[in-house]
Amino acid sequence: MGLLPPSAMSAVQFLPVEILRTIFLLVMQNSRYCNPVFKTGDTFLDCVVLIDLTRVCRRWREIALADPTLWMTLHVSLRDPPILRLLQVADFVSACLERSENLPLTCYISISITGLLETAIPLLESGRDRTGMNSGECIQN
Amino acid sequence: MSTTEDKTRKVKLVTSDNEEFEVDWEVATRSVLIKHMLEDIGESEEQAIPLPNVTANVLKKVLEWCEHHRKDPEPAPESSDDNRKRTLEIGDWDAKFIQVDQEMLFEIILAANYLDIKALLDVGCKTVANMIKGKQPEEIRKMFNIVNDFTPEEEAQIKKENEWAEDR
Repeated sequence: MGLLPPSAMSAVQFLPVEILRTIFLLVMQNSRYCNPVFKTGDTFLDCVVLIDLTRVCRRWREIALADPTLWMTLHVSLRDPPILRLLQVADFVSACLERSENLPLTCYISISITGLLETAIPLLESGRDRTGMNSGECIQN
Repeated sequence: MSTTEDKTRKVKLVTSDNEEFEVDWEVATRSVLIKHMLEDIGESEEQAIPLPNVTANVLKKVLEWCEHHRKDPEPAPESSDDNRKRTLEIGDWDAKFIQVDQEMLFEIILAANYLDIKALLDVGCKTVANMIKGKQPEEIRKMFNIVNDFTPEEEAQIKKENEWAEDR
């Protein structure tokens, strides 16, 4: 064959770091940028795909953790989230805060809640210490 | 800028397994690498361009893509704004073109990277991204035959670190 050496090793592992990084960015694209028409529904699963990528193998983990730009932007839309989901998002935001290192973090969280707004408090508090963080937007219907 | 003369010109390409391909200048220069090499050798039409990192079966496939996209406008330099608008959508023809086995898919990606054909590299990367999307780590490993090389200690640490994400 061409650039791939004959080997039992997975062909994907021969991709250079830069290409794998591009693929990682594409996988999580939906959670990095707001669409022109604001997203609705629950996009949490789009976000945590980045966590899944760090759990595949050592190489993928090293690539994902070595690149703070992968962790510096997230947009999460939540519609009537249960408290567990809010806590999960708070944990994800914490992971992004840590892994984006010193880069400015853009964190846009939209929560559409028909119940009590107070349920979102743990999430809103999760990033309050980070300078320059744009903490979320809550829409109470 | 390309001239009318350029567009009628033929280019010879030689693969790592010594197969020669004669293609239109417009097709060959979808590759920025080949374009620059042609600029370097100037008018010597007979000189073949060696491509030591691409085999004939992969180049054949890459040239099929270049032929189809020969009239496409030159891609604009990427800006951060372009990145923001990137989606995982692939055009119908490209989607059909890239329906190949995994080994060929990664060969095309590597060849597109080596030959500097950004649009083809983009199609390949989007295809892999679409394959990964929505899958759990174990499913990704199985799909790409990736060995889980974490030690049990590392595995336990990672599991603990991501406990919050377990219940979806």
